[in-house]
Amino acid sequence: MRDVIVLGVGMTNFGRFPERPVAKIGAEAMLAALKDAGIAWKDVPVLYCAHAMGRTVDGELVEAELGHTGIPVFNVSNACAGGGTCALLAYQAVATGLYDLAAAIGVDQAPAGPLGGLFPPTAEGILGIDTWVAKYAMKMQRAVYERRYTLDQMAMVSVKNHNNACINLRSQYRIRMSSVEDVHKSRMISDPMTLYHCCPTSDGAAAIIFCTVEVARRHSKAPFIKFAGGALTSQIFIRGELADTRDVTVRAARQAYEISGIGPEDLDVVELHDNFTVSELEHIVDLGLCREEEVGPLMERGEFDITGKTPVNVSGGLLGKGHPTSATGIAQLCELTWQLRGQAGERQVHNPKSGLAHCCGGDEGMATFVHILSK
Amino acid sequence: MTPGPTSVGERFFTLPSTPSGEPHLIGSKCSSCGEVFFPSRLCCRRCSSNDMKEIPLSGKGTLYSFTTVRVRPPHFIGEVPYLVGVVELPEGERIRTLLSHCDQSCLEIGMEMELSIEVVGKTNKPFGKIEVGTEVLGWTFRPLWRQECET
Repeated sequence: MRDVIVLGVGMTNFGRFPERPVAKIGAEAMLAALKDAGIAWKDVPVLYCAHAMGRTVDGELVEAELGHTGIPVFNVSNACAGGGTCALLAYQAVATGLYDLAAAIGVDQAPAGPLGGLFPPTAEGILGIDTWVAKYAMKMQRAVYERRYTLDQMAMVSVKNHNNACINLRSQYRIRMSSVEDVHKSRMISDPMTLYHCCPTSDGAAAIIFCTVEVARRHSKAPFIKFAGGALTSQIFIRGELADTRDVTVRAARQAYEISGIGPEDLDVVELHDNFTVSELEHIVDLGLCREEEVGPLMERGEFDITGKTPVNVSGGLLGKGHPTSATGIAQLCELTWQLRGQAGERQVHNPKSGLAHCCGGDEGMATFVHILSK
Repeated sequence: MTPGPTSVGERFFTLPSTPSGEPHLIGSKCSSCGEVFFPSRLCCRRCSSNDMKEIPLSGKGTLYSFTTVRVRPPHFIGEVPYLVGVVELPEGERIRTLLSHCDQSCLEIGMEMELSIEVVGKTNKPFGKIEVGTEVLGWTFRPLWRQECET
Protein backbone atom coordinates (compact mmCIF):
# COMPACT_ATOMS: atom_id res chain seq x y z
CA MET A 1 0.00 0.00 0.00
CA ARG A 2 1.41 3.38 -1.00
CA ASP A 3 1.41 6.49 1.17
CA VAL A 4 -1.48 8.81 0.28
CA ILE A 5 -1.24 12.60 0.57
CA VAL A 6 -4.01 15.20 0.83
CA LEU A 7 -3.33 17.38 -2.20
CA GLY A 8 -6.28 19.73 -1.87
CA VAL A 9 -9.46 20.42 0.06
CA GLY A 10 -12.37 22.75 -0.48
CA MET A 11 -15.92 23.32 0.70
CA THR A 12 -18.85 25.67 0.21
CA ASN A 13 -20.44 27.63 3.01
CA PHE A 14 -23.06 25.51 4.78
CA GLY A 15 -26.55 26.98 4.88
CA ARG A 16 -29.88 26.84 3.06
CA PHE A 17 -29.74 27.44 -0.68
CA PRO A 18 -32.93 25.86 -2.00
CA GLU A 19 -32.67 27.81 -5.26
CA ARG A 20 -29.21 26.45 -6.15
CA PRO A 21 -29.03 23.21 -8.13
CA VAL A 22 -27.16 20.46 -6.30
CA ALA A 23 -24.68 20.12 -9.18
CA LYS A 24 -23.63 23.76 -8.80
CA ILE A 25 -23.16 23.40 -5.03
CA GLY A 26 -20.99 20.34 -5.62
CA ALA A 27 -19.01 21.98 -8.42
CA GLU A 28 -18.26 24.97 -6.20
CA ALA A 29 -16.66 22.71 -3.58
CA MET A 30 -14.67 20.77 -6.18
CA LEU A 31 -13.40 23.98 -7.81
CA ALA A 32 -12.20 25.15 -4.40
CA ALA A 33 -10.39 21.84 -3.83
CA LEU A 34 -8.84 21.90 -7.32
CA LYS A 35 -7.59 25.46 -6.74
CA ASP A 36 -6.17 24.43 -3.37
CA ALA A 37 -4.47 21.47 -5.03
CA GLY A 38 -3.13 23.51 -7.95
CA ILE A 39 -4.60 21.13 -10.56
CA ALA A 40 -7.42 21.21 -13.09
CA TRP A 41 -10.62 19.13 -13.27
CA LYS A 42 -9.15 17.44 -16.38
CA ASP A 43 -6.40 16.02 -14.13
CA VAL A 44 -8.87 14.00 -12.01
CA PRO A 45 -9.17 10.38 -13.26
CA VAL A 46 -11.85 9.12 -10.84
CA LEU A 47 -14.56 10.63 -8.63
CA TYR A 48 -16.34 9.20 -5.60
CA CYS A 49 -19.49 11.20 -4.79
CA ALA A 50 -21.61 10.89 -1.65
CA HIS A 51 -25.19 12.12 -1.57
CA ALA A 52 -28.14 10.96 0.51
CA MET A 53 -31.25 13.02 -0.16
CA GLY A 54 -33.14 10.67 -2.44
CA ARG A 55 -31.63 11.69 -5.80
CA THR A 56 -29.36 9.74 -8.13
CA VAL A 57 -26.20 10.21 -10.25
CA ASP A 58 -25.29 13.38 -8.38
CA GLY A 59 -21.60 12.65 -9.05
CA GLU A 60 -22.14 12.62 -12.81
CA LEU A 61 -24.19 15.84 -12.55
CA VAL A 62 -21.30 17.50 -10.71
CA GLU A 63 -18.92 16.21 -13.36
CA ALA A 64 -21.17 17.63 -16.09
CA GLU A 65 -21.12 21.00 -14.34
CA LEU A 66 -17.32 20.95 -14.23
CA GLY A 67 -16.94 19.69 -17.78
CA HIS A 68 -17.48 16.19 -19.18
CA THR A 69 -14.31 14.15 -18.90
CA GLY A 70 -15.78 10.66 -19.26
CA ILE A 71 -14.16 9.38 -16.06
CA PRO A 72 -15.63 6.67 -13.81
CA VAL A 73 -17.89 8.21 -11.18
CA PHE A 74 -19.05 6.18 -8.19
CA ASN A 75 -22.05 7.38 -6.13
CA VAL A 76 -22.34 6.42 -2.47
CA SER A 77 -25.32 6.76 -0.15
CA ASN A 78 -24.12 6.15 3.43
CA ALA A 79 -26.08 8.91 5.16
CA CYS A 80 -23.88 10.95 7.52
CA ALA A 81 -20.97 8.58 6.86
CA GLY A 82 -21.19 9.06 3.08
CA GLY A 83 -18.47 11.68 2.81
CA GLY A 84 -16.03 9.64 4.87
CA THR A 85 -16.93 6.55 2.86
CA CYS A 86 -16.02 8.30 -0.38
CA ALA A 87 -12.81 9.65 1.18
CA LEU A 88 -11.89 6.08 2.13
CA LEU A 89 -12.63 4.84 -1.40
CA ALA A 90 -10.50 7.62 -2.92
CA TYR A 91 -7.72 6.82 -0.45
CA GLN A 92 -7.91 3.11 -1.33
CA ALA A 93 -7.84 3.92 -5.07
CA VAL A 94 -4.49 5.65 -4.64
CA ALA A 95 -3.04 3.42 -1.91
CA THR A 96 -3.59 0.24 -3.92
CA GLY A 97 -2.03 1.71 -7.05
CA LEU A 98 -5.19 1.87 -9.17
CA TYR A 99 -4.76 5.63 -9.62
CA ASP A 100 -2.11 8.22 -8.76
CA LEU A 101 -4.80 10.78 -7.93
CA ALA A 102 -8.44 10.48 -6.84
CA ALA A 103 -11.16 12.91 -5.77
CA ALA A 104 -14.00 12.51 -3.29
CA ILE A 105 -16.95 14.84 -2.80
CA GLY A 106 -20.00 14.93 -0.57
CA VAL A 107 -22.99 17.09 -1.48
CA ASP A 108 -26.50 17.37 -0.11
CA GLN A 109 -29.47 19.71 -0.11
CA ALA A 110 -31.95 19.09 2.68
CA PRO A 111 -35.67 19.55 3.14
CA ALA A 112 -36.69 21.55 6.23
CA GLY A 113 -37.65 19.76 9.44
CA PRO A 114 -36.72 16.31 10.75
CA LEU A 115 -34.87 14.13 8.25
CA GLY A 116 -37.54 11.44 7.87
CA GLY A 117 -37.72 12.26 4.18
CA LEU A 118 -34.42 10.44 3.70
CA PHE A 119 -36.29 7.13 3.73
CA PRO A 120 -39.59 6.13 2.08
CA PRO A 121 -42.61 5.42 4.36
CA THR A 122 -42.53 2.25 6.43
CA ALA A 123 -44.92 0.97 9.05
CA GLU A 124 -42.69 2.49 11.74
CA GLY A 125 -42.74 5.78 9.83
CA ILE A 126 -46.54 5.78 9.63
CA LEU A 127 -46.64 5.16 13.39
CA GLY A 128 -44.12 7.93 14.03
CA ILE A 129 -41.77 5.73 16.07
CA ASP A 130 -38.70 5.84 13.83
CA THR A 131 -38.05 9.58 14.05
CA TRP A 132 -34.50 10.45 15.04
CA VAL A 133 -35.59 13.16 17.43
CA ALA A 134 -37.39 10.53 19.53
CA LYS A 135 -34.44 8.13 19.40
CA TYR A 136 -31.92 10.70 20.54
CA ALA A 137 -34.26 12.28 23.10
CA MET A 138 -34.51 8.81 24.65
CA LYS A 139 -30.70 8.45 24.53
CA MET A 140 -30.47 11.72 26.45
CA GLN A 141 -33.03 10.50 28.96
CA ARG A 142 -31.15 7.23 29.53
CA ALA A 143 -27.87 9.10 29.93
CA VAL A 144 -29.43 11.19 32.70
CA TYR A 145 -31.19 8.19 34.27
CA GLU A 146 -27.97 6.16 34.29
CA ARG A 147 -26.14 9.19 35.74
CA ARG A 148 -23.67 9.26 32.89
CA TYR A 149 -24.23 12.90 31.88
CA THR A 150 -26.38 15.79 33.10
CA LEU A 151 -28.58 17.94 30.87
CA ASP A 152 -26.22 20.84 31.63
CA GLN A 153 -23.18 18.87 30.44
CA MET A 154 -24.98 17.98 27.22
CA ALA A 155 -26.01 21.61 26.77
CA MET A 156 -22.37 22.64 27.18
CA VAL A 157 -21.53 20.74 24.00
CA SER A 158 -23.97 22.99 22.15
CA VAL A 159 -22.61 26.16 23.73
CA LYS A 160 -19.02 25.19 22.83
CA ASN A 161 -19.82 24.20 19.26
CA HIS A 162 -22.09 27.16 18.51
CA ASN A 163 -19.46 29.55 19.84
CA ASN A 164 -16.79 27.79 17.76
CA ALA A 165 -19.06 28.19 14.73
CA CYS A 166 -19.11 31.95 15.34
CA ILE A 167 -15.48 32.14 14.20
CA ASN A 168 -15.95 29.83 11.21
CA LEU A 169 -16.83 31.86 8.12
CA ARG A 170 -18.41 28.84 6.47
CA SER A 171 -20.87 28.10 9.27
CA GLN A 172 -24.60 27.97 8.67
CA TYR A 173 -25.22 29.77 11.94
CA ARG A 174 -23.29 32.22 14.12
CA ILE A 175 -25.28 31.94 17.32
CA ARG A 176 -23.30 33.22 20.24
CA MET A 177 -24.33 31.52 23.48
CA SER A 178 -23.46 32.79 26.91
CA SER A 179 -24.57 29.80 28.94
CA VAL A 180 -26.43 26.49 28.99
CA GLU A 181 -29.61 28.49 29.62
CA ASP A 182 -29.55 29.49 25.95
CA VAL A 183 -29.89 25.79 25.14
CA HIS A 184 -32.46 24.97 27.82
CA LYS A 185 -34.69 27.91 26.78
CA SER A 186 -34.87 26.95 23.11
CA ARG A 187 -37.95 25.26 21.65
CA MET A 188 -38.74 21.77 22.98
CA ILE A 189 -38.52 19.24 20.15
CA SER A 190 -38.91 15.93 22.00
CA ASP A 191 -38.61 15.93 25.78
CA PRO A 192 -35.94 16.53 27.13
CA MET A 193 -34.34 17.57 23.85
CA THR A 194 -34.62 21.24 22.97
CA LEU A 195 -33.79 22.72 19.57
CA TYR A 196 -30.17 23.57 20.36
CA HIS A 197 -29.43 19.99 21.37
CA CYS A 198 -29.99 19.13 17.68
CA CYS A 199 -27.92 19.85 14.60
CA PRO A 200 -29.74 21.63 11.79
CA THR A 201 -30.42 20.27 8.33
CA SER A 202 -28.31 22.01 5.72
CA ASP A 203 -27.15 22.40 2.14
CA GLY A 204 -23.51 22.33 1.12
CA ALA A 205 -20.61 20.36 -0.29
CA ALA A 206 -17.02 19.49 0.54
CA ALA A 207 -14.32 17.91 -1.59
CA ILE A 208 -10.90 16.34 -1.07
CA ILE A 209 -8.21 15.29 -3.52
CA PHE A 210 -5.69 12.54 -2.68
CA CYS A 211 -2.51 11.67 -4.53
CA THR A 212 0.80 9.81 -4.28
CA VAL A 213 3.90 11.36 -2.74
CA GLU A 214 5.40 11.79 -6.25
CA VAL A 215 2.39 13.76 -7.50
CA ALA A 216 2.33 15.80 -4.30
CA ARG A 217 5.97 16.78 -4.80
CA ARG A 218 5.12 18.23 -8.23
CA HIS A 219 2.41 20.51 -6.82
CA SER A 220 3.23 21.45 -3.27
CA LYS A 221 5.89 21.56 -0.61
CA ALA A 222 6.49 19.39 2.42
CA PRO A 223 5.36 18.85 5.09
CA PHE A 224 2.63 16.84 3.43
CA ILE A 225 -0.64 15.97 5.11
CA LYS A 226 -0.94 12.19 5.01
CA PHE A 227 -4.02 9.97 5.24
CA ALA A 228 -2.51 7.95 8.07
CA GLY A 229 -5.30 5.42 8.42
CA GLY A 230 -9.04 4.99 8.18
CA ALA A 231 -11.79 2.46 8.74
CA LEU A 232 -15.44 1.93 7.91
CA THR A 233 -17.63 -0.29 10.07
CA SER A 234 -21.24 -1.30 10.44
CA GLN A 235 -23.05 -2.64 13.52
CA ILE A 236 -22.54 -5.95 15.20
CA PHE A 237 -25.34 -7.47 17.24
CA ILE A 238 -25.81 -6.06 20.73
CA ARG A 239 -28.91 -7.39 22.49
CA GLY A 240 -31.39 -4.65 23.29
CA GLU A 241 -29.50 -2.03 21.27
CA LEU A 242 -31.86 -0.77 18.61
CA ALA A 243 -29.39 1.38 16.67
CA ASP A 244 -25.86 1.25 17.98
CA THR A 245 -23.62 4.27 17.49
CA ARG A 246 -21.13 3.50 20.25
CA ASP A 247 -19.65 0.04 19.70
CA VAL A 248 -19.52 0.77 15.97
CA THR A 249 -17.41 3.86 16.76
CA VAL A 250 -15.17 1.98 19.19
CA ARG A 251 -14.38 -0.64 16.55
CA ALA A 252 -13.79 1.85 13.72
CA ALA A 253 -11.50 3.87 15.99
CA ARG A 254 -9.59 0.81 17.10
CA GLN A 255 -8.95 -0.16 13.46
CA ALA A 256 -7.91 3.37 12.50
CA TYR A 257 -5.53 3.64 15.47
CA GLU A 258 -3.99 0.28 14.60
CA ILE A 259 -3.55 1.03 10.88
CA SER A 260 -2.15 4.52 11.48
CA GLY A 261 0.00 3.76 14.48
CA ILE A 262 -1.46 6.89 16.05
CA GLY A 263 -3.38 6.54 19.32
CA PRO A 264 -6.07 8.68 20.95
CA GLU A 265 -3.47 10.23 23.26
CA ASP A 266 -1.55 11.49 20.18
CA LEU A 267 -4.47 13.37 18.66
CA ASP A 268 -4.28 17.17 18.64
CA VAL A 269 -7.65 17.95 17.07
CA VAL A 270 -10.86 15.93 16.68
CA GLU A 271 -13.93 16.45 14.47
CA LEU A 272 -16.62 13.99 15.54
CA HIS A 273 -20.28 13.33 14.87
CA ASP A 274 -22.20 15.72 17.11
CA ASN A 275 -25.58 15.28 15.41
CA PHE A 276 -27.04 15.71 18.90
CA THR A 277 -25.27 16.91 22.03
CA VAL A 278 -25.43 13.52 23.76
CA SER A 279 -23.54 12.03 20.80
CA GLU A 280 -20.48 14.22 21.36
CA LEU A 281 -20.12 13.11 24.98
CA GLU A 282 -20.58 9.46 24.03
CA HIS A 283 -18.18 9.56 21.11
CA ILE A 284 -15.43 11.35 23.05
CA VAL A 285 -15.45 8.23 25.24
CA ASP A 286 -15.91 5.78 22.33
CA LEU A 287 -12.87 7.27 20.57
CA GLY A 288 -10.79 6.64 23.69
CA LEU A 289 -10.18 10.32 24.49
CA CYS A 290 -11.25 9.84 28.13
CA ARG A 291 -13.27 7.49 30.33
CA GLU A 292 -17.04 7.51 30.63
CA GLU A 293 -17.07 8.95 34.15
CA GLU A 294 -14.64 11.72 33.15
CA VAL A 295 -16.27 13.19 30.06
CA GLY A 296 -18.96 15.29 31.80
CA PRO A 297 -16.56 16.93 34.31
CA LEU A 298 -13.91 17.42 31.61
CA MET A 299 -16.46 19.11 29.35
CA GLU A 300 -17.35 21.39 32.27
CA ARG A 301 -13.66 22.27 32.74
CA GLY A 302 -13.11 23.23 29.08
CA GLU A 303 -10.92 20.23 28.22
CA PHE A 304 -12.50 20.05 24.73
CA ASP A 305 -12.54 23.79 23.98
CA ILE A 306 -10.31 25.24 21.25
CA THR A 307 -7.90 26.22 24.01
CA GLY A 308 -8.34 22.93 25.85
CA LYS A 309 -6.13 19.86 26.00
CA THR A 310 -8.11 17.93 23.34
CA PRO A 311 -10.03 20.34 21.11
CA VAL A 312 -13.21 18.72 19.78
CA ASN A 313 -15.27 20.19 16.92
CA VAL A 314 -13.32 23.44 16.66
CA SER A 315 -15.07 23.97 13.31
CA GLY A 316 -18.39 24.23 15.15
CA GLY A 317 -19.28 20.62 14.43
CA LEU A 318 -22.60 19.53 13.01
CA LEU A 319 -24.39 21.45 15.75
CA GLY A 320 -22.86 24.83 14.97
CA LYS A 321 -21.48 24.66 11.45
CA GLY A 322 -24.42 22.75 9.96
CA HIS A 323 -24.86 19.29 8.51
CA PRO A 324 -25.37 18.65 4.79
CA THR A 325 -25.47 14.92 5.38
CA SER A 326 -23.00 13.64 2.82
CA ALA A 327 -20.70 16.66 2.90
CA THR A 328 -19.97 16.59 6.62
CA GLY A 329 -17.37 13.80 6.68
CA ILE A 330 -15.27 15.52 4.02
CA ALA A 331 -15.80 18.92 5.66
CA GLN A 332 -14.29 17.37 8.81
CA LEU A 333 -11.24 16.32 6.73
CA CYS A 334 -11.06 19.87 5.33
CA GLU A 335 -10.93 21.27 8.86
CA LEU A 336 -8.25 18.78 9.92
CA THR A 337 -6.19 19.65 6.83
CA TRP A 338 -6.40 23.39 7.51
CA GLN A 339 -5.51 22.80 11.16
CA LEU A 340 -2.49 20.64 10.30
CA ARG A 341 -1.29 23.18 7.72
CA GLY A 342 -1.66 26.06 10.16
CA GLN A 343 -4.33 27.67 7.93
CA ALA A 344 -7.24 27.62 10.38
CA GLY A 345 -7.07 31.32 11.29
CA GLU A 346 -8.92 32.17 14.49
CA ARG A 347 -9.79 28.49 14.97
CA GLN A 348 -6.13 27.44 14.88
CA VAL A 349 -5.14 24.84 17.45
CA HIS A 350 -1.53 25.09 18.66
CA ASN A 351 0.89 23.11 16.46
CA PRO A 352 -1.21 20.04 15.68
CA LYS A 353 0.49 16.96 14.23
CA SER A 354 -2.49 14.63 13.84
CA GLY A 355 -6.26 14.82 13.78
CA LEU A 356 -9.27 12.49 13.65
CA ALA A 357 -12.56 12.67 11.75
CA HIS A 358 -15.61 10.57 12.66
CA CYS A 359 -19.26 10.19 11.68
CA CYS A 360 -22.04 7.64 12.21
CA GLY A 361 -24.59 7.31 9.45
CA GLY A 362 -27.95 5.72 8.96
CA ASP A 363 -30.07 3.54 11.11
CA GLU A 364 -30.29 0.00 12.44
CA GLY A 365 -27.02 -0.81 10.75
CA MET A 366 -25.09 2.39 11.28
CA ALA A 367 -22.26 3.05 8.85
CA THR A 368 -19.36 4.58 10.79
CA PHE A 369 -15.98 5.85 9.69
CA VAL A 370 -12.93 7.00 11.63
CA HIS A 371 -10.10 8.59 9.63
CA ILE A 372 -6.80 9.97 10.85
CA LEU A 373 -4.73 12.61 9.08
CA SER A 374 -1.20 13.37 10.17
CA LYS A 375 1.71 15.62 9.33
CA MET B 1 -66.36 2.77 0.60
CA THR B 2 -63.47 3.06 3.07
CA PRO B 3 -62.62 -0.18 4.89
CA GLY B 4 -62.73 -0.33 8.72
CA PRO B 5 -59.61 0.06 10.88
CA THR B 6 -56.77 -1.81 9.20
CA SER B 7 -53.54 -3.09 10.69
CA VAL B 8 -50.46 -1.06 9.73
CA GLY B 9 -48.95 -4.28 8.38
CA GLU B 10 -49.87 -7.93 8.18
CA ARG B 11 -47.03 -9.36 10.13
CA PHE B 12 -46.73 -7.16 13.22
CA PHE B 13 -49.49 -8.34 15.53
CA THR B 14 -52.51 -10.60 15.80
CA LEU B 15 -55.84 -9.33 17.06
CA PRO B 16 -57.79 -11.42 19.56
CA SER B 17 -60.18 -13.90 17.96
CA THR B 18 -62.50 -13.99 20.99
CA PRO B 19 -63.83 -11.10 23.11
CA SER B 20 -61.82 -12.22 26.12
CA GLY B 21 -58.69 -12.88 24.05
CA GLU B 22 -55.53 -10.78 23.92
CA PRO B 23 -53.62 -9.30 21.02
CA HIS B 24 -50.08 -10.49 20.47
CA LEU B 25 -47.04 -9.02 18.84
CA ILE B 26 -45.54 -11.42 16.30
CA GLY B 27 -41.83 -11.97 16.78
CA SER B 28 -39.17 -14.25 15.38
CA LYS B 29 -37.13 -16.73 17.39
CA CYS B 30 -33.87 -18.04 15.98
CA SER B 31 -33.83 -21.83 15.94
CA SER B 32 -30.07 -21.75 15.98
CA CYS B 33 -29.17 -19.40 18.85
CA GLY B 34 -32.53 -18.71 20.50
CA GLU B 35 -32.46 -14.92 20.12
CA VAL B 36 -35.89 -13.26 19.80
CA PHE B 37 -36.72 -10.24 17.63
CA PHE B 38 -39.57 -7.86 16.86
CA PRO B 39 -40.63 -7.17 14.22
CA SER B 40 -40.34 -10.65 12.67
CA ARG B 41 -37.46 -11.15 10.29
CA LEU B 42 -35.93 -13.48 7.74
CA CYS B 43 -32.60 -14.00 9.43
CA CYS B 44 -31.15 -13.77 12.90
CA ARG B 45 -29.47 -10.42 13.61
CA ARG B 46 -27.03 -12.18 15.89
CA CYS B 47 -25.95 -15.34 14.07
CA SER B 48 -27.39 -14.84 10.54
CA SER B 49 -29.25 -18.14 10.60
CA ASN B 50 -32.26 -18.07 8.29
CA ASP B 51 -34.08 -20.72 10.35
CA MET B 52 -36.48 -18.39 12.14
CA LYS B 53 -39.76 -19.37 13.80
CA GLU B 54 -42.65 -16.95 14.19
CA ILE B 55 -43.76 -16.75 17.81
CA PRO B 56 -46.27 -14.67 19.76
CA LEU B 57 -44.52 -12.28 22.15
CA SER B 58 -45.35 -11.35 25.74
CA GLY B 59 -47.97 -8.65 26.00
CA LYS B 60 -46.18 -7.07 28.94
CA GLY B 61 -42.83 -5.39 29.42
CA THR B 62 -40.99 -2.70 31.34
CA LEU B 63 -40.54 0.88 30.20
CA TYR B 64 -36.91 1.44 29.20
CA SER B 65 -37.27 5.04 28.01
CA PHE B 66 -39.85 7.49 26.67
CA THR B 67 -40.26 10.93 25.14
CA THR B 68 -43.01 13.32 24.04
CA VAL B 69 -42.43 14.14 20.38
CA ARG B 70 -43.50 17.69 19.55
CA VAL B 71 -42.65 17.88 15.84
CA ARG B 72 -44.41 16.00 13.04
CA PRO B 73 -42.25 13.40 11.29
CA PRO B 74 -42.89 13.28 7.52
CA HIS B 75 -45.01 10.13 7.32
CA PHE B 76 -46.71 10.10 10.72
CA ILE B 77 -50.51 9.86 10.61
CA GLY B 78 -51.33 10.61 14.26
CA GLU B 79 -51.73 13.72 16.40
CA VAL B 80 -48.77 15.79 17.58
CA PRO B 81 -47.55 15.88 20.36
CA TYR B 82 -47.41 12.14 20.93
CA LEU B 83 -45.51 9.67 23.11
CA VAL B 84 -42.86 7.23 21.94
CA GLY B 85 -41.12 4.74 24.18
CA VAL B 86 -38.87 1.74 24.26
CA VAL B 87 -40.29 -1.27 26.10
CA GLU B 88 -38.15 -4.17 27.20
CA LEU B 89 -39.83 -7.56 26.78
CA PRO B 90 -39.07 -10.58 29.00
CA GLU B 91 -37.62 -12.30 25.93
CA GLY B 92 -34.76 -9.76 26.01
CA GLU B 93 -35.75 -7.71 22.97
CA ARG B 94 -36.33 -3.99 23.37
CA ILE B 95 -38.86 -2.54 21.01
CA ARG B 96 -39.80 0.95 19.92
CA THR B 97 -43.48 1.68 20.36
CA LEU B 98 -46.12 4.34 20.71
CA LEU B 99 -47.32 4.86 24.27
CA SER B 100 -51.02 5.32 24.93
CA HIS B 101 -53.37 6.19 27.78
CA CYS B 102 -50.73 8.22 29.55
CA ASP B 103 -48.68 11.37 29.44
CA GLN B 104 -45.09 11.72 30.49
CA SER B 105 -45.93 13.16 33.88
CA CYS B 106 -47.03 9.71 35.08
CA LEU B 107 -44.35 7.67 33.34
CA GLU B 108 -41.20 6.30 34.98
CA ILE B 109 -38.41 4.16 33.64
CA GLY B 110 -38.96 0.64 34.94
CA MET B 111 -42.77 0.90 34.97
CA GLU B 112 -44.76 -2.14 33.86
CA MET B 113 -46.51 -1.69 30.54
CA GLU B 114 -48.95 -3.78 28.52
CA LEU B 115 -49.67 -4.08 24.81
CA SER B 116 -52.67 -2.18 23.49
CA ILE B 117 -53.61 -2.17 19.81
CA GLU B 118 -55.01 1.28 18.98
CA VAL B 119 -56.15 3.33 16.03
CA VAL B 120 -53.18 5.64 15.45
CA GLY B 121 -54.67 7.87 12.76
CA LYS B 122 -55.96 8.04 9.21
CA THR B 123 -53.80 7.72 6.11
CA ASN B 124 -53.56 10.83 3.92
CA LYS B 125 -51.66 9.03 1.19
CA PRO B 126 -51.72 5.38 0.10
CA PHE B 127 -49.42 3.06 2.02
CA GLY B 128 -48.95 -0.39 0.54
CA LYS B 129 -52.45 -1.78 0.07
CA ILE B 130 -53.97 0.72 2.52
CA GLU B 131 -56.05 3.37 0.76
CA VAL B 132 -56.25 7.06 1.63
CA GLY B 133 -58.60 7.86 4.49
CA THR B 134 -58.27 4.47 6.22
CA GLU B 135 -57.92 4.25 10.00
CA VAL B 136 -54.71 2.42 10.81
CA LEU B 137 -54.19 0.13 13.80
CA GLY B 138 -50.75 0.12 15.38
CA TRP B 139 -49.12 -1.40 18.42
CA THR B 140 -48.85 0.76 21.53
CA PHE B 141 -48.04 0.08 25.17
CA ARG B 142 -49.98 1.53 28.09
CA PRO B 143 -49.23 1.55 31.81
CA LEU B 144 -50.30 -1.78 33.31
CA TRP B 145 -51.55 -0.19 36.49
CA ARG B 146 -54.32 2.00 35.11
CA GLN B 147 -54.95 4.01 38.25
CA GLU B 148 -51.45 5.52 38.08
CA CYS B 149 -52.19 7.17 34.78
CA GLU B 150 -55.79 8.21 34.39
CA THR B 151 -55.85 9.91 30.97
